[in-house]
Amino acid sequence: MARSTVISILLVAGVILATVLFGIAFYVASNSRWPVIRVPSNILRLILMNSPAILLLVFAYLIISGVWLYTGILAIVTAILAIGLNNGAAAGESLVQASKTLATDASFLDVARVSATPYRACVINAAKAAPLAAFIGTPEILSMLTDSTAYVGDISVTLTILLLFYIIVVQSVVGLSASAVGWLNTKAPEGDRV
Amino acid sequence: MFNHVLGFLQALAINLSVGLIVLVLGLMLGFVTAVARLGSSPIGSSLMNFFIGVLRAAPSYVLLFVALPILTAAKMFGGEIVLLLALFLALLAGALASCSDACVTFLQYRAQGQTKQAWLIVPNIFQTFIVAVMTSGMGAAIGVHEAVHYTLTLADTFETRMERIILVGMVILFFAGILGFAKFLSTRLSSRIAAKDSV
Repeated sequence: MARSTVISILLVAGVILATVLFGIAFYVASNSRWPVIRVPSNILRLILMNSPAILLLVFAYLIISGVWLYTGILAIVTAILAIGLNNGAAAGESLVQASKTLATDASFLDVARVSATPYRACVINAAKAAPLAAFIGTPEILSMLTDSTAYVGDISVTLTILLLFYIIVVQSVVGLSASAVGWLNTKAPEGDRV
Repeated sequence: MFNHVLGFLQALAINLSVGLIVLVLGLMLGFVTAVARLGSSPIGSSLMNFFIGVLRAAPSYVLLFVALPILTAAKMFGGEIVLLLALFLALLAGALASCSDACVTFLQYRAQGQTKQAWLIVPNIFQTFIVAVMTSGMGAAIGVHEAVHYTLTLADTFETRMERIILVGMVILFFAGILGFAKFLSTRLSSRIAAKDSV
């Protein structure tokens, strides 16, 4: 139980980190001077952001389990990559759209500040999508509880643990991301603060 | 091949129906909760805001597994109906929270006399529908016979991993095309409403 809880928290943290990093990577790639990088990354971004997360998870599982022996750790990495790419593509899109509203010489900090609200929504969505990892066998808390109790025994305790745990985790992400947006806003020139 | 395409489209119709029903219910309940959130009672408003906050934070996939055993234990329905109801409830939480937020914005703009700005609720609601359709694919995890479930069942009948990868990849491209186009329409609609407002 404790191990699954730790894995779930690590999974949420990993998914958030992947979303932030993929978002920045997609934005940087979309600004590349080489079309060979820019065009494929734009197409990939549009595909990933409009795909159901569960299908991306299965796709990633099929590829990764074909190359390596599929262990618990690899399942976590697969889930982080798939969910991170799905939400990171949307986060990258928010940066791209924000940059279009600014002057061409705008700094990354300016772009990040303008796209802060939709970017934050992507990070929160990523945290909410983390339990989907159970679908490909990631040994996190949802996977553990649905396996061990299997709808018999003390259902109410199971439900309370599941819901409370994830609501607290997501609310923590909501609070932390609000602080991050607030910090970003303090870095802006005084007249531009929102 | 034709039978598979037809089977997939029939399964996709379930995703679309689920999305539509969730949207209608979300809108009805969202409007009621929005009125309560904007009401004169501070306690009622705070309670409703808290309730919506909890719904917004609850992951749909977890709610799916929470709803399923409760509905199964209730023994009011059987078979696929229980699975569909669990999926409805899981999706409804997110849709309700999103529709409630959209209705709050709508009512606030209406109160300020900014009618056209208020009608930006339409693309927001369309987005909620798209999200509900996309998320309904998680029904595959409990055996709802929707498009993702159909795809995975079909993939299981294939002999090689490469065939499965190609099938799942094609379905991803299909979803990306359809949902990308729907989002494009939604953005165009927002732009047109905003442009009308500025005239």
